[in-house]
Amino acid sequence: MIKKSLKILLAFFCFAFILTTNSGALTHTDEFFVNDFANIIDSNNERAMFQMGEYLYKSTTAQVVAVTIDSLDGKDIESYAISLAREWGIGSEEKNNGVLLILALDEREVRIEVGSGLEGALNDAKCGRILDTYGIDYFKQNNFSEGLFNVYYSLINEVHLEETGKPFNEDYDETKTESEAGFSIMGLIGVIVLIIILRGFRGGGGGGFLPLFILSSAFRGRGGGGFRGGFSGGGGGFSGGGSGRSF
Amino acid sequence: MKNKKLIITLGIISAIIVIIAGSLISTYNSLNSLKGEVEEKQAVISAQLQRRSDLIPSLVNTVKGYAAHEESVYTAIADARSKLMGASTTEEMADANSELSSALSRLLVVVEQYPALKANTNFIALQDELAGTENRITTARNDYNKVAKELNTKIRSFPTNLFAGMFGFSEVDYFEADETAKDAPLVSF
Repeated sequence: MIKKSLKILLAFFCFAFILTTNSGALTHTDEFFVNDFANIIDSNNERAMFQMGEYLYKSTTAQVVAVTIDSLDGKDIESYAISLAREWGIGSEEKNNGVLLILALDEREVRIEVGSGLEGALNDAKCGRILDTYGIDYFKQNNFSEGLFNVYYSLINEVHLEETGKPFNEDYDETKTESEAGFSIMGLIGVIVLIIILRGFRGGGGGGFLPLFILSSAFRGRGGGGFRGGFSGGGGGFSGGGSGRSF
Repeated sequence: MKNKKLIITLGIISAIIVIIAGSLISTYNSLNSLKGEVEEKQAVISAQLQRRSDLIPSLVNTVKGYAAHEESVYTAIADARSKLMGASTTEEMADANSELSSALSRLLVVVEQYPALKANTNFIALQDELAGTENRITTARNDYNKVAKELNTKIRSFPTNLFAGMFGFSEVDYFEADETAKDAPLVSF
């Protein structure tokens, strides 16, 4: 009896946790730094972007987030972008060093929204120039994957320069990212703890749905398994800076 | 016997006074803090309007380099700009800002006729800065209106409305965007 209700209770908490992170119009994916809702970024670029974004975040607390959506549904991209950036709390709370790169497919518009802490490094003219230089030609040819990757990389580099004084590729070593391993230490520890707890109730019997569920979430690729939903920096100090283009 | 009743009555009265005083104090404090927020957001609007005003001369000069003869447009911009710099109340600022938007859209109509100007990287950079400033104004305006509404609603609600005037709080203006400014008047020759 106890085993069953514990199972249900734990399942409920997992479910409730997932629910509570779904507030507002659009929720980010587990891969906070790349949210390809319009499905236009190929998986290699997506993975590379995520790893860069995660690395930048871990080394500087700055967050560059990319979002693609099918349609703005009648809203204008400026207000859409700033609502999203504020709601997701992009960037750290103390420094407001967040950047949102958003592309709306139907409307063929792209925008870079810059947090107040980065407005000096990424002023409006520079954002426009970045889009013109690294993105627009690709977007016009519908090569969104390359265009977004290039713009994203450019943004990562600018932010890294601002935060550390060095270009991104001087610090960044792809082979060192933990995503390569396919699981995270946090997840593994969590699993061990849970197994120990469950063992106490079960009396040594294995199997069942719950341990599998926890195991699978710990071993999820991309290194996000250890802290799902924990990426938001708590920032959201956006005052409307940035630039956009239509193509 | 009588003393007991007296004490109880006094106790009740003092309790009522404490409760009323307590709620008056908290009402005052929340009105005050909202007012502070409103003033803060208003300052952001002023700063962004100033920034917009500062960008204009460079923009106009770049355009003049290509289209020196569009005097009426440049005059309209200069007039709107000085109006903006002289504005002090929220209403004056909103009006002047709309007028400037109107004049700027006339300028952009002129720019359309000069492809070389449109492709000029300096001009593109200035346009980006201007667009960014205008977006900041919109954001600041929305943020301001949001807190202004909170304050005004609170001032009007019961029982705060009884004391608001006494405390010196009055409703604040909203920063309206003049919808008519969006219709750019056609440049006539």
